[in-house]
Amino acid sequence: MRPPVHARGAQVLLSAALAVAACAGSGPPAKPAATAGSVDVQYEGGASARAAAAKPTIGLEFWAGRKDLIQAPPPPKPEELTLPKVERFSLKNGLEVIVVPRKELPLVSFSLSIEAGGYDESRDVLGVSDFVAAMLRRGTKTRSADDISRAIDFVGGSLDARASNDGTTASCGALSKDAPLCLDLLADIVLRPSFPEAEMAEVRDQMLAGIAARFDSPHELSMAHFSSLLFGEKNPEGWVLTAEDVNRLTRAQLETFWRTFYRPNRAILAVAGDVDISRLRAAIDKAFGAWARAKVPARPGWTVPPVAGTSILLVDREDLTQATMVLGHQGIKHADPRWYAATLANYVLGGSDFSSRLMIEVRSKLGLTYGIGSSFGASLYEGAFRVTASTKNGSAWEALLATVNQIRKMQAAGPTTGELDKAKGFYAGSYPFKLQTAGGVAAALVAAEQHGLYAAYVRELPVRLAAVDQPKAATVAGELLHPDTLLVVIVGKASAIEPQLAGKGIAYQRINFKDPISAAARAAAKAKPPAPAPAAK
Amino acid sequence: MTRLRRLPSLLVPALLLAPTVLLMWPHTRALAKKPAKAAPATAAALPSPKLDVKNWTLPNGLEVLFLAEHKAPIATVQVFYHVGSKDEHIGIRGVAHMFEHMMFKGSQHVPPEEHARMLKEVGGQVNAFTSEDITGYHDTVPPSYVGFAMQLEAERMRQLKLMQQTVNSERQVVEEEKRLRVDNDPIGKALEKFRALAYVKHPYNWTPIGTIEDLDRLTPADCQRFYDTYYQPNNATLIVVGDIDEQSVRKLAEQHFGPIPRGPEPPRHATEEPPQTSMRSETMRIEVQIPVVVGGYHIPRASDPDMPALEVLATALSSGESSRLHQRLVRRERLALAAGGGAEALEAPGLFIIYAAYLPDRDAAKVQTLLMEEIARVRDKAIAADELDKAKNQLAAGFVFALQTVDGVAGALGRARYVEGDWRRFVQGADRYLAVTADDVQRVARKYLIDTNLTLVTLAQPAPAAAPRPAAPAGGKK
Repeated sequence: MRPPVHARGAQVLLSAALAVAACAGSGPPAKPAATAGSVDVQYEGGASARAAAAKPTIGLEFWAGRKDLIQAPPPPKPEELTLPKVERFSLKNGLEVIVVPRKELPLVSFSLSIEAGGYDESRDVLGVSDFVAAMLRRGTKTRSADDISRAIDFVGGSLDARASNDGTTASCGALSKDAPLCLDLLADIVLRPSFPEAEMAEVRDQMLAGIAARFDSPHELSMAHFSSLLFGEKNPEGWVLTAEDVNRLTRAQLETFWRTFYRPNRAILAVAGDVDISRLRAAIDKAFGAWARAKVPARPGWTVPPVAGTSILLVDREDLTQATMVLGHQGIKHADPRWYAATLANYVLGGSDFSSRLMIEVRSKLGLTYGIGSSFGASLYEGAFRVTASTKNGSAWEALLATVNQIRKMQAAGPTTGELDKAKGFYAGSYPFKLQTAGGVAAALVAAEQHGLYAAYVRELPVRLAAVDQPKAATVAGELLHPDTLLVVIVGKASAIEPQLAGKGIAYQRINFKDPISAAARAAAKAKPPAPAPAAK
Repeated sequence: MTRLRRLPSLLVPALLLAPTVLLMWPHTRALAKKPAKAAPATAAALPSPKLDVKNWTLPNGLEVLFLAEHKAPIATVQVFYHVGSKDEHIGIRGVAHMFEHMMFKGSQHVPPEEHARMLKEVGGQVNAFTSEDITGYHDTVPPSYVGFAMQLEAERMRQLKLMQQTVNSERQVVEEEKRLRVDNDPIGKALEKFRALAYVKHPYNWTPIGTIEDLDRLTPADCQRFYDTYYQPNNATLIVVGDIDEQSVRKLAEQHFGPIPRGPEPPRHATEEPPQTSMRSETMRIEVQIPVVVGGYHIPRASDPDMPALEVLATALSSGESSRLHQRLVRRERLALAAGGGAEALEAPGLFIIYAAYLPDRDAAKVQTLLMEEIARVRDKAIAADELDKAKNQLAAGFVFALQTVDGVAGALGRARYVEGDWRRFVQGADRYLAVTADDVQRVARKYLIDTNLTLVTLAQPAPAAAPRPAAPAGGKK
């Protein structure tokens, strides 16, 4: 047994794991067409076949043609999920409430999702939604930060608030006997935060540490560069929080953001676990009834600028033994009707661990990576398609090449019918796993609601996926994958990686790992135009 | 993803407390969220939920643990082998973990990686992990595929096909994993150093990921010897938790695992770590944005009667923002970003860990001094009654939270079986904390948390007076 990791830490870990899971990697070869730092690249067909041939193959002869191998039974039939009985109601002020009762364990969780996130920030108050979320626990009209910590710790519960671009989620989990305390604390921190000036320094430190730690994590660093490159300055997804942003924020800005966006008509409260519905309704009304509704500025919505040709950003850190890569291009909205076909095609390409083409090629056959994967983010607005991977500095090119060729192959023909069936079987069988806890059901319902997909999405996902046929999957893969217009970020030891790029006649831009993330900030920092890419000869 | 909203410094405790390595990264850190051990609440003591675990042993020595859990249509099949990195020696460091990978690289009737692929295609989730003490394989599947998962696990228990080609390609994968987790991660590097310093003789001297030099030398013959020694039914436990009935599990277990013959009893290390007689301390200077100090005191094995008091102590010191270390280092003195610790439960004597992470502009010596002052405080004075109650409540609630998923429960049962020597320690876990008194907590603090028993590793930037980091806070100082 491990000693307990307190709830907040554990949650962070889980998020980190999910973030990592979304990665994959790949690369491009081809001829340089140097613009200022990026190049258009054409890929040589068959290059990955040659790369594979150069490596020891797996030695599958032993199993070839054998009749006594264990065969997989037929996959489960996709069917609608029977969700536990869900209670829904709304308060007079517009707060939506979803209750998922479940009695097996004496636990309860309250999770309040408010549409107040990064998408609601203007560029000059970047980070304000995070700062506000972190300050909620730091004091209310009647409780100090330490009062709040002592109260929740004494019952062994958890109380937390976190912002994302989509919004802020404040949640409390505890034994069901402590449900009244949970509800009281949650309402208090969301409705009556006092934003004590004295607490701001500590929160600021935590945020600055998060920014600094980015430079210790090649993965986080590569993702930050990728987002900045892909989404650009006009889309909040492309804004990378810096120390200057954090240091600039004032108490007045926090309070204004909270007052403007923390409103019941933009919030859903999900309650899950061992609750008494009849008493709960009155308790929720008492806790949240006084929260005043208000008109909240609408979000304009954002798209992703198209990528013009493949380019490589090489982020140099000399002490790295591994090249960490992310590559990709624009994706789709979660609510896009092509989401289902895209999910299946991605499962086959790089979304399914060992079963994925990328994993088979780059890990199993070539032994170049520990992990590689791809994803279409489930975004509220147009998101990104990303592949992430890591490999030895010396094999960056080879891994990249193998990856791009797999994207190309998927783009050209889509998944095979057999692969598609396996992907559908996976979702049919595994989907209930995510919904094994009441909290999981509640979270899925809230997420579907916020992305405009509603409860039917949660119930019917396996069936909707099963309805995608091969031609549809191939069409969507053909539309959504762009193997010739990829943004590639490689964080690694440039002196070991550059020769590989040079040998292939590729141009790229090289920067130092501690350079500012956005191109504009780098330019401003140098007060002169960025050096042209040291194009290989 | 772009904005880095989370506090990476909070990864520190998890990395410290979960030195296991896994086959696949996607699940890694999720699994690091280990269930807290049980304890009945004191203030309003609730009985811990009763777990009706069934236990039997096949004639070949394979133990079976089963818990019916019908709240969702899923079941988990896990096989835990009683072998980990502590069963290695210098020359084969990393073989236990390498072996965990090889289990997916082909057996008589299953081509390489088909195990994972076939289970995935029926909706299963497959993973494996290696710790110092155990290697675990888990297949979580829709209930109608429990038999299929068992068939696959039974087949690879004794019919693995170890070939030069697969060993070679998987070795590269494992070495990439080491680069990812250790070499490219400042905290990973610090922890490797920390283990090496804390243990001079016992195999806890190295971590399950092993060393590249030993991995480079591993041959298929080494792997085969390891397999034949430890992968035997009498050195394993089959754990099934989920939406299935006992009779089915009994029948399927007998059908698939029954025919495997009992193997020779595996040898056990007798190496004992000699008592530490003076403090060990080292500073690693590498490029790091968030410096960290990690300390560890030798404590007894997980099954020792002192462990419950040590766990209560660890909880009081570091669980939640009202805990002592957080209050002192993060809140009152505004020196650390995070501070905490934990009592490592290992089969052989482990470590009581404390740590703090801080911004580079803070006084490293002061951070260390404060950590030591807080340790001195729990030695010098018994913790207050409400602090004791709080810790017990936290442990009790943590136990219930850990019961939410079938794989969580199965994993906890498996670890209790081998790390603590008895799966009942998980089921009855609540009672162990109930009896702990404030005096017990002070007694174990005085017995183990003493300077001569301490190993300290500090991870700091190369030149203390170097130019400020771009991200160094301009306005963040108190």
